[in-house]
Amino acid sequence: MMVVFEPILVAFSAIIIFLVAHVIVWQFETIENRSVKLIVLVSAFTYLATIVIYLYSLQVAILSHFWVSFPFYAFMMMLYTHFYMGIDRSVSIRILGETILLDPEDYQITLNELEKPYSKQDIVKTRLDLLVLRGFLLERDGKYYCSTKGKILSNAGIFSQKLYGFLKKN
Amino acid sequence: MCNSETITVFFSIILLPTLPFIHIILLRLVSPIWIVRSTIISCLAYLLVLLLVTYCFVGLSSGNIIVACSMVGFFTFGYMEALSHVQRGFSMQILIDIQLYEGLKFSQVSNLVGKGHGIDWLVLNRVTIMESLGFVRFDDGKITLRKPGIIMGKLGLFVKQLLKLGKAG
Repeated sequence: MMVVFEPILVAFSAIIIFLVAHVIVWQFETIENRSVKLIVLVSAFTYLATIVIYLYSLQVAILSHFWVSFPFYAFMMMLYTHFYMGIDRSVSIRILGETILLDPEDYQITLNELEKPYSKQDIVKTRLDLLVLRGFLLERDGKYYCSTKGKILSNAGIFSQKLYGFLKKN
Repeated sequence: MCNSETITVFFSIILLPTLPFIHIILLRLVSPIWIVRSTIISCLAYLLVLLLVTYCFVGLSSGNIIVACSMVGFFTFGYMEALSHVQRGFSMQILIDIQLYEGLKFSQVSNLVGKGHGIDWLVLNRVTIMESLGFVRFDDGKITLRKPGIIMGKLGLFVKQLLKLGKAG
């Protein structure tokens, strides 16, 4: 049982350190730079830091169970990324949040009232701006075009939609 | 250095195509509405195959089982994230529309959102989904949060404030 306990403890320690590091980094980093890539980078760094702490301060033979602690840590990080992306991108979470902010007593809102803090045009504009910023779209003369990177991704999307049969219904 | 856990990680990578392969077959047989259930079945099938192969080659220990479950969980959640972009991802659909029409204006993008239903439909669709999940009640154009919706909404606001995400969404 001890064989399994140690690597799980290491993974959980790394996750706690990651959460702290994530909050700190996100206070200083600009919104444009807060990408999944940065989460991966911070998580890799915190895992290495945890290994160093356990190896040198607590004298735990961490390397012998690296192949148990690392996959477990990677799985937990994937779960967290799911959660983070859901909060960050979800239209539904935003609607729930705006309802709470607008009516903190009865938690009620009409679609017209929602339009003020969260306009429908904003939903599209935010996405378009981000796609331009990330280099998937190019904006020219008031029109949006796919960049080479964007074309590759959209072609992959079309191929996948056909492969999985998502286009059948539409 | 190549212990049984390392071999389990190696097998999980080699056997990874099992997950989309089974999933595509299932989705082709049933409706895409069953996407979550079919993903769970594919994930369990992938885990079963991985455990079986690991058992045959190196035997099963508690360490191996944890590695197998972690790797399957890691790949399945990564796969689900990628697939959700393809199936109902807003940005992905915008990108596809712009590519298919070889350039679009802002107003045209708005009209094409939600596979041609338009932006009004998109918000309504999200509210309807939340209603079916028990997060909100929706009558006469009025959204009323239910308990799970209040908890989710407050959690969202808390995380956004903590990580300085702005309004996001």
